[in-house]
Order: sequence, then structure tokens, then C-alpha cells
Amino acid sequence: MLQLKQVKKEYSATAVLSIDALTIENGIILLQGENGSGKTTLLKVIAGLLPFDGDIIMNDTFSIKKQRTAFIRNINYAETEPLYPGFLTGKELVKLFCYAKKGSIANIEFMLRQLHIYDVYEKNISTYSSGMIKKLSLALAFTGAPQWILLDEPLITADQNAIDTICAMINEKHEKENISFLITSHQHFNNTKLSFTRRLLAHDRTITIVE
Amino acid sequence: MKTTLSILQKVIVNHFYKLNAGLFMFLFYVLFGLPQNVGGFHIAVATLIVQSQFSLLIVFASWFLYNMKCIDYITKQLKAPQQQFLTCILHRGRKESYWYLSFVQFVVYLPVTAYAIFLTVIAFQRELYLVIAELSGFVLLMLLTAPLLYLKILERNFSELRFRLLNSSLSIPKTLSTIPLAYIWNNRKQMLFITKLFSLLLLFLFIKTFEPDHYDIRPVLFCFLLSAISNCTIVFEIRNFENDYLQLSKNFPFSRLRRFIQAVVMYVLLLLPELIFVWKAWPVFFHSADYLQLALSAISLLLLLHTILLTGNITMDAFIKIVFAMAMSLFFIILYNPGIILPVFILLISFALFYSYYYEFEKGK
Repeated sequence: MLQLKQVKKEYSATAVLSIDALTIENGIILLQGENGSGKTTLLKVIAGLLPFDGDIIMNDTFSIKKQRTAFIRNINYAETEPLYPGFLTGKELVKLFCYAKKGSIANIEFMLRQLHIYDVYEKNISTYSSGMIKKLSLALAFTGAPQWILLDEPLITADQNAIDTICAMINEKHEKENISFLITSHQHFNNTKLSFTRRLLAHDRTITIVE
Repeated sequence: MKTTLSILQKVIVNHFYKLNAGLFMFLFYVLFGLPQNVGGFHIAVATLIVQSQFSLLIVFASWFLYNMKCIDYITKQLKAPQQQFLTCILHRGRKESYWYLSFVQFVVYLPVTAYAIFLTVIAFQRELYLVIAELSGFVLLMLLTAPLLYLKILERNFSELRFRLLNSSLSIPKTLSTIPLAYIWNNRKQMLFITKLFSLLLLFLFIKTFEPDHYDIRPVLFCFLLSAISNCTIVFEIRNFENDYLQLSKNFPFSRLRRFIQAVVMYVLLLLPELIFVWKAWPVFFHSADYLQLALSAISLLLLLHTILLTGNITMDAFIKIVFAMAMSLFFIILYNPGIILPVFILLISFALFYSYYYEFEKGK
């Protein structure tokens, strides 16, 4: 469970996110909203990538402001348009993430095989297509043993096979390891392979729960 | 033709001088503001240069470094996606394109050419015809060869021309300490090469020319810090790289202390050539027991520069001003021989800044 308290984020004195209080229960959560509604900002704030005012507490235990390392250990994040240094190979990046997140390299390699990008594993990322980079970032988001995985627009640029695989991975992780997901989409999500436990709506710089 | 030259002037040349305005102003102040008798001073210096082949060699080395800087800048501009329209110059044919690019090289290299003409006049007065030939040959070589490289870049053939040795990747474990260095090695080779050449040359010249009459660590310490501080552009590039590509590492469960130690390791690796080369000054300039002070001072200085860049979106111009101010301050502080207190103090300030700003820094804010 994530509790957001007085979360405010501004860019150049313009508020882009303002949440007084919000509790996100565990599960597979869909966060929808138009472009610029603050979905990515919310995910980046929870992932610890952006400074913000207020606090976020996980399971009534860890505060991102006070126990940052413990909080972040339980949060993984995959960006919409990931940007990795082109001179690194996929393998080097996987090693780095597995070292940082105490994850299993074999597990990530298995996912990369499922996503059909294992053949470029040892090649420089500069040779990858945008779709391949997206798949790599999604596999990296599953590194280690987080409680939450935040996926920003995970299905854009993905082919049908990849969509099926990603959905299967999400369901499996949720069922077997009780990992929660916060997934954003700016379009109507018509994928039936994912059963969302809750829907959130990003609108007018805040987040509301859709009943 | 006039339009093409005008576009090249606006897009490449003007921006170059604007970008390096701080450096030129500094040089102008040192060369024309400080000497009381400007004319007499410059004639004396020029005479000294043309009368000694060794002095001339040093001048050529510095002009070569400046040329590398020009090449680095122009090649980056020609490769930039927003300058892709410049490829239309090629429609005028290779020969004409070459002369257009020669114009760019000529204008950015003008400060050197002008000084070379001045030296030629002085050499002519003293009937040193070999020196005149050397000066003319060197400047023509710099002016005429660089445009060939620019032409290849414009034709997008540069990748085939790259030196295979320098193009090799660093096969070292990729950690948060080494990835920024691998980036510098892969993407900023010229900058790295010029910086290291400059900093090591500075140390070398100091060791060869300075003769202490008694033991005093201060001269070598100041020279070593200047050598370290010449890595400031690399520090700036590292911070830019971290902002662009390593933002996601904030999602790694590392404490701030651990991240700071990673930065320390990074700068130890970056300064490794200087840290090893300075042993040439042992035992005349420093004793083994003082090596820790030298090494720690240099590393903590780069850490301070790194952490200053965390405090806000600092431009290169502003950063260079900070670096100059820091070099001046260090000169006066070292005069009072602060010993190990100086590096420890710098290290503590760096850590305090790092601790306060690491998670608060946001690009563009």
C-alpha cells in the first residue's frame, strides 16, 4: 500500500501535481489520463527520480523522505521512453541492475528470451531499435524483489507477441510473488489479458480513484 | 557564396567565439592588461620564442592543442542533428565545399594565425629564415588539413576514418563509477586526450624548470591542483551525462554515502595518470609522507566541482568562472600552507553539498 500525503510537484512555479491524500492499495492498478495530466510525474516521484514536497509512505512503514533506501529497494520503475548509454551492452546493463537491485541475472535473461531480444543481449544498446530498448527496460523493471513495479506506458511500441508476454509476466508476478503494479496509459486500455484491481484517473493536476 | 559563408559564420564561428568568450577575455587580460609596457613585453616574449627551438616547440604544442579544441568543436557542430542542413553545401562540389570549410577553420584559428604573423615579423627582423619557414609550415598545415576532416564528416564518412585503436571500448566492469568514464572514453576522446596532454605537460614543465632551494610542498601542490583543475571540462561533461542517462540510478537503493564513495572512486580513476605522473617530482618536490596530501587535494577538488554542479543548472560559462575563482582562492590559501586541513575541508564541503543536493537536483529547473 502506498500513501501519498500532501504531494506537490511544480515545474517553473507551475503545479503539475497536487495530491492532498491518496491511498493506493496493493494490486494491479491502472492509471489513466490525458497527455500532460501528471501520470509520468507521479510515477517518477514515487520512484524517487524527482524531488517533491510532501511524503509517500509504503505499508505504513517506509517513508521516501525518511527511509529512502529501504523505500526505493521496494520500487522498480520502467520509463515510457527509456534512455540508456548507447555504448553499454544489454548484458552490462542487466548486470548493473541486478547488482543494484540484488536480482538474478538468469531471471532477466529468461525474460529477454521470452521477449525475443536475447540475440542482441551482448550488443551495444546503440544498435537496438526503440522497441527493443523498451522491452529491455521492461525486463529490467522486474529485477530483484520489489513490492511495487511502476510501468509507464508499457505497451506502446510493443508488438502483439510482446504485449501477450508482458501481460503474462505481470499476472504471474502478481499471483506468485504478490508484487503490485502501477501501470499508466493515456489511451483506453482494451487489453483483456490484464485484470486491473483498481483504476485511477489523472486529471486537473490530481489523482482520483475511479469507483 | 556570400550567403553560404554568412550561414557558416552565424552557425559555427560566432557560436565558437561566444562559447569561448571567457577564455579569450582571460587571455586578453593576462597578455595585455597585466604587463605595464605591453609592446616591449610582447616583443621580448616573441624574441625569446623565435630564438629558441625548444620555446618554439612549446608554442607549437599549445597551438596544436588549440587546433584540437577547434576541431573538436567544429566536428561536434557538423555532426549535430540540428546542423544536418549544412550537408547541402556538398551540392557545390567537393572542392568548393573544402574552401567553405577552410573559411570556418581560418576564422576560428585566427588568433593563432595573427600571433604567428607577429612572430614571423620578429623572426624576419632577426633574419631567422628557418623559423619563418617553420611558422608558416605549421600554420598552413593546421589550416589546410583540418578542413579535410570536416569534409569527411559532412559527407558522413567519418566513422570509416576513425582510429581503430582509439575507437575500442573500455573492457572494464561497468559500475556507476566507471560508466561516466566509459562515456568520456567513447564519446569525448578528443577532450580527454587534450586535457590529459595539457595537465601532464603542465606537471612535466614544472618539474623540469622549477628548481627549489629548500623543501617546500606548496609549489608542487599548487601546480598539481592546477593540473587537476584542468579536468574541469570533463567534470562538466560527466555531470551532463549523469543528468541525461543515469537519472534512473536514483531508483537504485544506494545510500548517499555510498553514492559519494562511487564519485570518489570515479575521480581517483580519472586522475590516475596525474597521480602516477606526479611521482616524477619525488623526492625533490615532495616526500612520500606528503603524497596523501597531494592526492587527496586533487581528488577533493574535482569532487567539489562535481558537487557544485549539483546545486543548480550551471552553464559552462558560469562554471568556468567558478573554476577560475577557485584556482585564484587556492593560490592564496596554499600560500599559508594549510597542510592536510585543506583537502579534508574541501572533502567535507563536497560531501555536505552532495548530501543536500543529490536528490534535490533537477535538470532544467
